[in-house]
Amino acid sequence: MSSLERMYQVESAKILLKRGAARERSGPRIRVGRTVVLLGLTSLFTDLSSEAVNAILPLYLVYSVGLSPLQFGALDGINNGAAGLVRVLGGGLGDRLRRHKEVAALGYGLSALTRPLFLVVGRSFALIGGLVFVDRLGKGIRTAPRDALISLSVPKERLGSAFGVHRALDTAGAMLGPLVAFAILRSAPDAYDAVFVVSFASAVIGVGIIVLLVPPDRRPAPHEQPELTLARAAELLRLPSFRRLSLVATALALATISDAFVYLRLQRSLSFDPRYLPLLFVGSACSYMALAVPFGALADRVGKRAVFLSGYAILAVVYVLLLTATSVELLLLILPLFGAYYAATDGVLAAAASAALPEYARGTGLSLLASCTSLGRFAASLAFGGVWVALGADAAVGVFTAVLLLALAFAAHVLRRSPDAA
Amino acid sequence: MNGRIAFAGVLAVCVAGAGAYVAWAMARGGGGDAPSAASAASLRKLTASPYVAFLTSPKDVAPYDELYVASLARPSRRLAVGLRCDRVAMNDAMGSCVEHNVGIGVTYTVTFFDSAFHEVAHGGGTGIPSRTRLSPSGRLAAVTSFTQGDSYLQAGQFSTTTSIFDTHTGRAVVANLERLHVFRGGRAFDPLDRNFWGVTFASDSVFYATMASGNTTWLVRGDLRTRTMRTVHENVECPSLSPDGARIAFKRRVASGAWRFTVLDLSTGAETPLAEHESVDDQLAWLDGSKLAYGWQGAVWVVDADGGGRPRLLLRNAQSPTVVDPGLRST
Repeated sequence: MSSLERMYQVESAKILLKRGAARERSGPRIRVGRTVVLLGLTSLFTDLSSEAVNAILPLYLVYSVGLSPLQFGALDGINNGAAGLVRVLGGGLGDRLRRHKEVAALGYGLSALTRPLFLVVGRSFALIGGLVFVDRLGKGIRTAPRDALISLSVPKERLGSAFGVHRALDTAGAMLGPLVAFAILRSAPDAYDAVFVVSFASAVIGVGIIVLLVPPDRRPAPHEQPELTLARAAELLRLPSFRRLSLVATALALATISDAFVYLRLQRSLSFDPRYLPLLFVGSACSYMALAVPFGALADRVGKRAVFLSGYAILAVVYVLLLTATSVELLLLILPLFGAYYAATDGVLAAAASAALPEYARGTGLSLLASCTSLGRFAASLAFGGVWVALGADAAVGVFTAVLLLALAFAAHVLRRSPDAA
Repeated sequence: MNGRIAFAGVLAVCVAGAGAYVAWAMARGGGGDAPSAASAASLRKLTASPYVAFLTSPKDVAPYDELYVASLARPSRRLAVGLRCDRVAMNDAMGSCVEHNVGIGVTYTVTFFDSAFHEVAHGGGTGIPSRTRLSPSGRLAAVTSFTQGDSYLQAGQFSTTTSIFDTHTGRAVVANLERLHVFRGGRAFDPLDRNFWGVTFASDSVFYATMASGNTTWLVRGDLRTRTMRTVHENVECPSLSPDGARIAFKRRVASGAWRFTVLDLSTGAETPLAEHESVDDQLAWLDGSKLAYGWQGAVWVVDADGGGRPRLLLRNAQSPTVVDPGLRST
């Protein structure tokens, strides 16, 4: 085949693609569509960028700025709270303007802008804290409109696969970031500036993909979908299927133990050298990455809610193993299961919620749901800390396993009558 | 299609720019190699009388990581030891130099060296090292590090790990102080969220340290023979035991993230705030029975232990000071 012929074929494929988009996304030619893959790549480069900085920030603060990381820790909680507040704003704005792409790009851009500034703010703790704050703000703004964009780019029956592809790429970036950062510091000692530069370049690539390559929002004719108003946003929670899903997701979030504790607990009960702790994250992230797409596709076939609930059932198994595991070999079981839990719940929940939400309020609904679950997780971590201090680690894991099983029973009951939208 | 061309341009610039910058950063070197040392004879001469060991920086900006010694009588006379450390402690018998390593996450290596700066043994642990101290005989060394500091385990949740090493073998005598039992008022007190940092030794078996749980800190007195600790006083961080063993100089928390250097009389429990009014995050080092040294903003300062006087500059371009009196056993 000549290159000319090949070029022709590529061009004709593009024409087909365009026609397909114009015809309201037809045929199974492309499984999830270009937009999803491109948004996944945006997330990959952006997460690589932010996790690279997060990984070295404590070192940088202690040795190059001369600060105690304890001071930084206090700041981090406030920042995550701020991200939660703007999340709903980002989702709502994307819906209201019908410009999810632009709002998401603004969030990605804001985070990207902070990277080179790390090089110029020097040693000021307040300014570094400010940059971290803006970075989290950007993250808060972009998440909901990006997920809305993903959900609006594929038909309902492929939402699971679409979010699976996105989350797999997203996780790859989060895993690569620290590896890249530490690789740079290994080959060029104390070259924190080089990490910031690489992080900036990666963030710019991410922003470049969403701004230059992701097609703009499909703008429905004014009569096609109503405009989002505050009253309509409030009514979202009256949608039976969305309300049930939010209720269930929050209840299950309330029964989760933070990842950090799961890893620490494994390190202590299996008593391996704490320097290998980061490998636990890498292990479960690999499993998450590998399973996100198949589980998403499975959710499309057998039902999103079923896969979502199975994910939490897997988590219950992980908790039981957490209490009983005694040999390091069991990590070969626990880490893949922990990754499988994420693969079956994170993207699948977004897919299920998207299917339950009207198009005009996709971003708002997704951000509301994300706020519910993150508040749930936050409350759970506080409660877990309390039980842990009062009764001990084993008792705390035991209590949370029991609560998780109860939440699962509750969830199965609530979703029982709810027809799966898939 | 303009978008694609523009993106190809963005991609090319980003990849080439980042690649070139990393290549330049690798070529400019720095950090890694051990700094060159002064001659053994001149070091021997300087360390024959009381001196201060500290860390300095070639450009007087952080990181301060090159080990130097300076005569206490004439601090302007300073000599390079030829070691790179993030924190250092020395006494007349031994030195402890901790340096962080970057792998997947952060670990540290602690190097123990004798009074002639010859390496004796190595130890290691996890986390970003922040404190080290030696027992008076030099047989034991404590290292505190910040762990879970990498993003894989959620930044923001920091805890400390304090280990005690045998300086002759490099092996950990106590891998983590959390393994020792704590008593408060005669009753077992092992809160699960306890953290320990800032050890100071009274002997090869008795030490003091900070224990934290929730928002409270305590001074604890530990005994390695019984592997127990007991609380002595509340709101004490980074203790430093005086040469006579009667007082503890420490950081007293006066507000969130703000400290005031204070001296505690162990027999009466009386607290004396020192004349340094800045909030300084360092473990004090006794210069002698009446003066204390500490690092603050790239310089080493001295303040009186009785609360009087005002802080005096001892060394510019210096951090992590410990004072060595070759005639005396110092802490």
